[in-house]
Amino acid sequence: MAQTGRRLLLTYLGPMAIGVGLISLFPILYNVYISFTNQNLYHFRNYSIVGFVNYGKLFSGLNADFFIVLGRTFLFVAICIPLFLIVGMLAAMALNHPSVKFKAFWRVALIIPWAVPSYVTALVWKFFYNGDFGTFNQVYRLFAGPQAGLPWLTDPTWAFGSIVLTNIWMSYPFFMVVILGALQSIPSELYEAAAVDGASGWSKFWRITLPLLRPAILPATILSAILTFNVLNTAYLITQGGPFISANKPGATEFVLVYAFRNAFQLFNYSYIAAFAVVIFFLLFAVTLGSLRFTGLVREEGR
Amino acid sequence: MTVGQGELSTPLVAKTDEREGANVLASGWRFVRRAAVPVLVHAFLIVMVVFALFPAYFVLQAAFRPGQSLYSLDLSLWPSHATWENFTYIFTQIPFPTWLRNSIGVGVGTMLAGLVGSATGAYALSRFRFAGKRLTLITLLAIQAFPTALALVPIYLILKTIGLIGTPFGLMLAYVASALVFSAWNLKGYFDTIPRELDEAALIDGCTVTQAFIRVILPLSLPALAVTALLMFLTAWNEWVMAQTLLFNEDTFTVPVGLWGLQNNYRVPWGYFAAASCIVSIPVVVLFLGLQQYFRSGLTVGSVKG
Amino acid sequence: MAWTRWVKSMGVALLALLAVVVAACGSSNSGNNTTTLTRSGTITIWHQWEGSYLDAKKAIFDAYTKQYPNVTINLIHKADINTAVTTAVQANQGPDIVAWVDDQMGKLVKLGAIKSIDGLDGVDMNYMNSTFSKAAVDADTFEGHIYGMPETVEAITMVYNKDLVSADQLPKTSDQLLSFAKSYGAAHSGEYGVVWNPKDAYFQAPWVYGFGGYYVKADGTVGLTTDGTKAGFNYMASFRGSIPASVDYGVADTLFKNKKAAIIINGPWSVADYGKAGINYGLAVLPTLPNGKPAQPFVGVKTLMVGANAQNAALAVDVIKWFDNKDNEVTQALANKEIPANKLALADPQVQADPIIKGFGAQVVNGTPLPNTPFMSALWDPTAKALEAVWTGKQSVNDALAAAQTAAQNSIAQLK
Repeated sequence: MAQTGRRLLLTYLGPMAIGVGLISLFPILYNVYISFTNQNLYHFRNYSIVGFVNYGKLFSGLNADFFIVLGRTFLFVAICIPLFLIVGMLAAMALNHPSVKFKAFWRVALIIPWAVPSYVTALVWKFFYNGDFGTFNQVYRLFAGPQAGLPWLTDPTWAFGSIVLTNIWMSYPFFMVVILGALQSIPSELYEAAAVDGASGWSKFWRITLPLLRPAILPATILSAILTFNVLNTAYLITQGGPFISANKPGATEFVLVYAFRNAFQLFNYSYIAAFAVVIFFLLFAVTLGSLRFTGLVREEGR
Repeated sequence: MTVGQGELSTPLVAKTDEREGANVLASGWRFVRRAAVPVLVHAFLIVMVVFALFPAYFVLQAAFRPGQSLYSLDLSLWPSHATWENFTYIFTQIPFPTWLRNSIGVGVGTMLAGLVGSATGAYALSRFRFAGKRLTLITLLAIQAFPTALALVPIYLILKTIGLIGTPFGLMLAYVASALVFSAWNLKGYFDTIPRELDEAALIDGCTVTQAFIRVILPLSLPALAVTALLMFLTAWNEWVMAQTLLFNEDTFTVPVGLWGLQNNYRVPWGYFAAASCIVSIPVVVLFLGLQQYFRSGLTVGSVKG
Repeated sequence: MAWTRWVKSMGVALLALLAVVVAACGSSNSGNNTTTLTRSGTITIWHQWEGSYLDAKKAIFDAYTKQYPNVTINLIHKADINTAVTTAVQANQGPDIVAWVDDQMGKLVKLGAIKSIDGLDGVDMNYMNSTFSKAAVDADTFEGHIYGMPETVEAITMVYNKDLVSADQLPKTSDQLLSFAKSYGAAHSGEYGVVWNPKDAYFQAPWVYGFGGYYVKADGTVGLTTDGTKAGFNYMASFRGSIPASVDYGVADTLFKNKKAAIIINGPWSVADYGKAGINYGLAVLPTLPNGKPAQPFVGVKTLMVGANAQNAALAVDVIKWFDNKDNEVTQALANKEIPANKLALADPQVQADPIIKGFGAQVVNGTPLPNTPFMSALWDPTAKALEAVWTGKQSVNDALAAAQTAAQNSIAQLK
């Protein structure tokens, strides 16, 4: 197709450009601007340009909050995504198994976690995890004796795991649905041909199923990774970022957005958080770009 | 519906083995596997359903439990004095019906406006040739990497400047814009998989670009449009951080904002929360059931074309 | 070429927008103070009242609009007043009246979210002093200006279940409270002598201030490493094992409602629910400490403040004065078991005869004012973290407080 006319281009790109420009691009520029000021509770209206002070605070040392929070968030994503995938994949394959009857029932039952609003279910999980009265420890005590209890939310490592578990519960249905759809579109002839060649079930999975699922799994994974990086609801509502082992260290589940939310809206440290957001933005941008280059998308564009 | 059988169906022609005993063993093993796999599959499904439904069940029983306490000190599975009072309360004592109407309006509005904006944009990115296309795509990606929650104050200032602050319409615009980027990427990925020859043939037949887009591309993209629509609706349906900041008056609230307004520093009115969330879950389940057939191919972000 | 033009026009549009927005931010401060009172218009009130508590207040506003039919009063419940007010005021969409606790006042003043009501509708220090109790007047003035009018006064106290513990068994000293907690738990498996949320700085204040410590002073001095604060933390820590480890406000509240706790330390907002849950409850003051001083809970003053965006501030003040007059304060006090800030209402024989109001009133006398300095906002978070670190045994009292002191000082340095 030849170079497209300007009017046509504006008609088609216009709505998106205005929307994205106004509500997405402007906030980023605004944040860049605020990050160079000293806006906070005491200088809320009468703030002034202070240069790179906020960036200096961010990188004040290797033990600065920034690195701890960021490292933990990446770890969280790195642990969550494979688990989402495995649980979603297993559920999809089980649903797709020919011996399973009443498929509609199982399918609806398994997507329920996705349908119930997360701001409500997060509170349910908070109760489940309660050390003394929570359902999990009440059941655990039936086996381990009346004094026993697991530190679901009180131990930093356990709390991290608890948030991972809750997130698996909330996120696997999405992967299940995507993978199930893809599974159903794999032609059965491929498996029959492989069977004739004497391939085992395991090698069929690796050589046929997985490669054919890739186009469906990849976009879901990118989307989910972005959402998981920006986790706020579960962590904030269940632990408020805790448990805290000291007043001057970020909590064990104080992920990027939880940290930003606490600092911006509880401590009114606007300019500091703006700098934080700008750095996170460039970092995420680089990671996304790198991963897309790796998967070969961007390379093919713009020809 | 035949996929997965591959795992089960053993080769029809088994390799002949010299020793008889091995053959017996092998067929015995096949028999065990034939019986064991379905049992394992069902066991796994049952475990998964318990895992999936227990928290949801907990919400359901809390909706019928009198009193507003989240914590219960016993392990009873169903309240001994089950009551509809939480449902009666949210429908008669608080403007829950209004909030529900606002939520539906904002959700459907976000879905429709988002679809129009992202489909046209994605079409341009997929089919038009223009300088800086690559830069546009990369800009879109960059924006996706910016956490929306940190854009709260600037979004607020924009809506204030254009006079839409405090209105569900303004909230809808904010949702649309934040959903546009992902939707455009997803739709572009799908449009790329539709052979160019199809719309080029339409153009040769005398269609305008817009006609080719509406008559050829859109009908072929139903799966991607459906999935994108569902995801956009869900974004708007369950979001509360932004909504809470951008809406002020009770009659403009969406359901999450209204519900959060019922709690205070010390207390969450758990019974009302539970009853309301039972109700807001229903449309999501219905939408999913209606659209699930499209999920097999509707999500294409980042996929390599060809 | 189309692309570069497009980029240029988008760039220009965005820059223009930025300029408009920045200009709008700068000018939004110019709320006009209407000094003459005209009783017509709409008054919007953001609050956190709820349930039957709200009903009693709503009736008073309804009576006002009935008397002055040209006035409409909108009551809006806001879950997160902090975020809501600060963002809304920036957009000139703030409410006319914010009903909240006085400790937020300094912060709201600094954020430009509320405005002074000096001289409006006859409000000055003489009026304040002659109408309200001294603690309430102090709470509602900040840096020499009047920023609100008090509604009620509140503090936490001991609420006990009369069926589980009799009045003469009630602990009078902090040592008795601890031994009561231990012996009650030993005698009743799965039950607790006393519960509260030990991980919350507000609930920790009685011990810290009673032992002579403090959180922060008006000039920004942080007192977390003082001996008194440490003693308060040590006392709190001595309840480990006698209060469920995973306790929070919800757990404590549920235990008391289910008769699994004999005593709860809680405020006036909670007792109506205890009555509804069928608990036969009574009130008693918090115990005396080894230094001979009573435990000193924070005394919060619920306050109505006038929002920075209020177009008709005089009318807003008039509504608040109506709400705070003697008769209405008596009605509210009796309905909601609250201690009125209005002196005449407090002296009313009916109010004086109410055992609940009397009980909380006795506690308020021992209390210490909830700091209304904006620096307090830098203290809640580190103090709560230190309490959690001590409660879960992750840090010693000294280490936890040293870390919290540093964290609080850093935040305050950033504020200044």
